[in-house]
Amino acid sequence: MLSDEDLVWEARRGSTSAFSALMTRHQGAVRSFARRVTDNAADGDDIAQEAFVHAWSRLKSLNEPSRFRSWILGVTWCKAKTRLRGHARDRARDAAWLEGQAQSGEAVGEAAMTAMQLFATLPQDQRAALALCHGEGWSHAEAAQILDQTLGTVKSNIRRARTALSTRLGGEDDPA
Amino acid sequence: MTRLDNALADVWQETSSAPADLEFNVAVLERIARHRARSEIGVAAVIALAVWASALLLAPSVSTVVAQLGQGLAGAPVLLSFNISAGVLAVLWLTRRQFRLSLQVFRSMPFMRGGRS
Repeated sequence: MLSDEDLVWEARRGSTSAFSALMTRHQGAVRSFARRVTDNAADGDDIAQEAFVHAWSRLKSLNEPSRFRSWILGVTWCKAKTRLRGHARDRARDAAWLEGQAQSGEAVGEAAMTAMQLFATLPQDQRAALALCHGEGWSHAEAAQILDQTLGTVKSNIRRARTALSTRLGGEDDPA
Repeated sequence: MTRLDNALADVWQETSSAPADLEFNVAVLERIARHRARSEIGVAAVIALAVWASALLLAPSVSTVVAQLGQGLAGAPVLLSFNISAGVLAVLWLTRRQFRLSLQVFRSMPFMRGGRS
C-alpha cells in the first residue's frame, strides 16, 4: 500500500486517483471533525468537501507530505471557522439561553437536552480542541499545530470545555 | 466513567462518519472539475479579450494584407497573412477546449438538471 507521502506526490503530478485514495483514507477523520465543530452533519460534510477541494489546489504548499492528515484537518478547521462566522448570531443566542438556564440553578439534564445539543453550545475553539484530543486521540501539541494555536490555549480550552459540560450536566467537577 | 465521559462518547458516536464513502469522493472530484473548468473559462476569456484587442490594433494591416492577397501579390504580405491565420487557428484550438468545458459547467447547473443541485 502506498504511503500518504507517495500519494501526495502522485496527486501533485495531477493524479486524481491518488487524490481519491487520500480522500478514502482520511475522509472519516475529516468528516467527523467537521461535523463536531459545526451544528449539523450536512454542514460538516459540506465543509469537509470544501477542505478537500482546497487541498487539491494547494497540495504544493504542503511542506511535509507525510503529515497530510494533520494538514487537511487544519484546512478543515479554517473552512469551518469561516462558515461558523456566518452563524455566530444564532450560536450566541443559544449560548445565552443555556447560560440563563445554568444561572437559574437548574441543571440541564440528559432528559432535557442531549449530549450533542450541550456540546453544540460550547465555543467553537473549545469544541475543536476537545474533538481533536478527546474524540480523535491527537496529543495537545498536535492539536495546537492543527488549530494554529499555542499549547497553553489548547489545554485551557479543553479544561474550560470539560468544566462547562460537567456543570451543565449537573455532575461532579471534572478532575481532568 | 463519569457522566461527562459518557456524554462525550455519545457525541463522538453520533458525529462519527463512515470510514470510506465513495459518494463523498465523487462529490469532491466533481467540485474539483467544476473549479478547474471555471478557472479555464477565465483563461479563455482572457485569450478572447487579447484576440479582440489585437484584432482592433491589427485591423488596418489585416485589411491591407487581404487587399494585397486579392491583388495576387506574393512574398512578405502572404507570409504575414499565413502567420496571422496560424495564430487565429491556434487560438481557436485553445478555445475549443474551453468552450467544451464551459458547456459542461452550463449543463451541470441545477436548472439544466431538472432542479437537482
